[in-house]
Amino acid sequence: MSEGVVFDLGYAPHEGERLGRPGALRALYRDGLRKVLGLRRRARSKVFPWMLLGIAVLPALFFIAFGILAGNLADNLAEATFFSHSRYFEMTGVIGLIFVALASSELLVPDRVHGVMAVYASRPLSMVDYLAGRAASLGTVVFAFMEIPHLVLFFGRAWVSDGGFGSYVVENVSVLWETSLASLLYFVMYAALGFLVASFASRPAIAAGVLVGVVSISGPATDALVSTGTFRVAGLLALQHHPGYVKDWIMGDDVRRWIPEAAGFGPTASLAAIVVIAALSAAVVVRRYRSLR
Amino acid sequence: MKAFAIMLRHGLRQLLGWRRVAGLGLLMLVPVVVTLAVVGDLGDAAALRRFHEAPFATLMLVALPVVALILGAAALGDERRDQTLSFLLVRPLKREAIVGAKLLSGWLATVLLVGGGAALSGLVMGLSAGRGDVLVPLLVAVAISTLGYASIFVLLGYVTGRAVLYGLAYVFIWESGITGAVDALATVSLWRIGLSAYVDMVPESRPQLRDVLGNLTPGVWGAAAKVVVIAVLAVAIGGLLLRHRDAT
Amino acid sequence: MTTPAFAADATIEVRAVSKWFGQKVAVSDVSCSFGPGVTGLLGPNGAGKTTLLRMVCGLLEPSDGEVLVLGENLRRRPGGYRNLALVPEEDAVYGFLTTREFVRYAAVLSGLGGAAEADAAIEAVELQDAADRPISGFSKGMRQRAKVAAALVGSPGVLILDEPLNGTDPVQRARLIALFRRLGDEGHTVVVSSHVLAEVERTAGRVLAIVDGKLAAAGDVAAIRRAMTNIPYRVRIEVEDPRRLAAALAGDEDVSSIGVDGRLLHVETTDLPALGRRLPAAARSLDLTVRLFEPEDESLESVFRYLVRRR
Repeated sequence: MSEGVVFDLGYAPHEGERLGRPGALRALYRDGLRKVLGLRRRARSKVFPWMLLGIAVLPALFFIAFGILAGNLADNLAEATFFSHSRYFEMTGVIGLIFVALASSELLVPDRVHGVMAVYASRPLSMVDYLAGRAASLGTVVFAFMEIPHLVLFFGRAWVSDGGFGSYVVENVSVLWETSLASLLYFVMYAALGFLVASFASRPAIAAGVLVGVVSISGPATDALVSTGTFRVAGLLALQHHPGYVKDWIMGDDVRRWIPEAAGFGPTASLAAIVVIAALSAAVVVRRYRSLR
Repeated sequence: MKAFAIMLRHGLRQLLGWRRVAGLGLLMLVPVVVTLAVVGDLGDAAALRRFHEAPFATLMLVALPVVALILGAAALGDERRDQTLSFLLVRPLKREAIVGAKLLSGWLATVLLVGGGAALSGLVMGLSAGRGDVLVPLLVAVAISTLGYASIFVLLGYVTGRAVLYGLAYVFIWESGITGAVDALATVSLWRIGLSAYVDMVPESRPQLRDVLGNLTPGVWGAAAKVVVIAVLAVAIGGLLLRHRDAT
Repeated sequence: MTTPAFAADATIEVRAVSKWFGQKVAVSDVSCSFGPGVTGLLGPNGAGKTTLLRMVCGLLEPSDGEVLVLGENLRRRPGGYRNLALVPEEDAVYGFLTTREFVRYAAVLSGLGGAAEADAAIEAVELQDAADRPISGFSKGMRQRAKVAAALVGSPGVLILDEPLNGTDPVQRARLIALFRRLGDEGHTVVVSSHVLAEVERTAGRVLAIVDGKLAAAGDVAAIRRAMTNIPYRVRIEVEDPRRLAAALAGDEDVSSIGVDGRLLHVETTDLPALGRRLPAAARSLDLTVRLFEPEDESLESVFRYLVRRR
């Protein structure tokens, strides 16, 4: 008869608190933040995200400095030198797109390609939880990246304002929620597409390139089609213009000619397009990840 | 020579997998569709003017750099990522030959895809508006611009795993934004070098594209010489990097 | 030089080589050489074996010292790669190529014709049946064999094999080991790095052990064990009455411990030859017959364990 014996090597089962699904989601969220920002990673993984943030904030800082100097020369010259928040989105929108391209591909592609999904599947997490955790990390960072430059600009203007810091803030506080809402719209639009592309790509670089390429090319392509007068509905495919058009509507501004506007669609149509594209992308991504399981 | 040829052949196969060709090929169809829609049945001069707006922009300003970036960065970048670079490095080959073969494969792969889109657009111009004469200038501009991009991005792809992202920042922030705003910086914009060749070959485009060109003088041979110099420098620098950098 | 770390007719010379990556010292002042025959390179994980081999192949620049292969520094003169081939540890294959295409690629890049040399190499690793299938569909063991075939093409004088048996099944392993031994016997310089000590023991006549980036031992296994004079030998002795023999041996100064296990006696001694001389006399005086006298720790595994334990 064969015998067996188990030796106690000091292994002890976990006796402490079990954090369950919320704990797993929190860990996923924290991991996503670190991946995207390069925290607790080598220095070179921090370069790109922080460089993008620097580029985004630089114009605001430049104009604050100029505003402070100009304020010493003439009273209303300081405020006149600043561009509007609405116009600032023209730049931060592009940077946001590139950042989403980086972040969405790095959040989704490596886990899938390196076979790590099985590890997540063996935890108290559904695929929807996994995607929600990743989206939450992405949303936190993208929203922050898009909003921080506007906060710098807002408080910079308040600093050089003739009426004083406090009164400027009180009189213009609506700008804060307007820019927040606009930043959220940009995030929803780009992140949905970013996740869609990243859920199928085998390499982060390809996902990033395809996302930026497709979004960038949609502008001039749909503009040309809309201008023929025959393909008006192509205006709904101007991916980069929807968040901008709605942003101008929210902020009561009119920065440029938007393609959906030229095609005869109102800002609500653009808002609906953002919601529909985001919903469809989310549905495809969830289906894709469920099929991986 | 045989070694160079086989590196080039396998390099092209590596870059032109069916998924990449399908995806990037779809992207290249966009300028063609836009050309078709925009040019329609306009007359000769009007069609050319319309062609130099959206169709040209989608082809030369978006599709070309994105495809060149993805394929150029992948030429050496994929070898490094897949850890097959040691396979090439432990061969009795000059390092410059390895970089040259990779650069050439990146360039040719891009020319095939982007050139295909450009050729179709030129064909549409010829059939719809009788302006098939833009086909050759388009292909020349594509060849010149893509050589410049491939040279830079092949090096970038070897040096960093985030080459595509740095390349996107270069294309959409530096080239589309900063060099567009400052005329004097046109000389350091790769796609404008290709544009200068096109404008030289299609003089009618000069009034429309003059602003975009900045202070670059139109000239095919000058443009070609510039990108050849860039390519030669890229090969020399790449060879130095392969010789002195650790292949971890 | 003729000390165990240095081979006669050296083809690879490693001269006071060190390599550091930032603050981490991966290889520290290693001097040795490799010559015709099979040399095993051993060490625990992170010991510096792969780093050393990659410096030998010219893929890494030594932070200090130099490496010469057939008198040449490969990083300065890549022409020297005509005589060297590497089977790296990582999965360095092109999945989209078939075995035949991959091996022919290696042949052409090495300045050879291609077809005939490739076919011979594929036959040597017994991949003929899979020669025209894409490598992407191969198991790990088949990929390893494809890599070995690509290295063998053109019969290079120096073959560097970093964990070449990873993923191979026992039959394939036995055949590859036989192949490496044959190449060693034919005068090729074969350097095999492996964690699987039993296989290194079967393949290599000479062993270099690296621990924490330093050369810890060199030579053949038994000689290395004999050089470890600070570690008592463990010997297994089988007799019909081990306790009586134990009592007789317990008085010897050289015997540091004795254990009884059924008919077996496990003896630790600091002087193995002396024990070997005294044992027959002791057994005769007790009218006992020694059926087995066998060192227990002269295997490569034991030697390796002692080397690692010393740090």
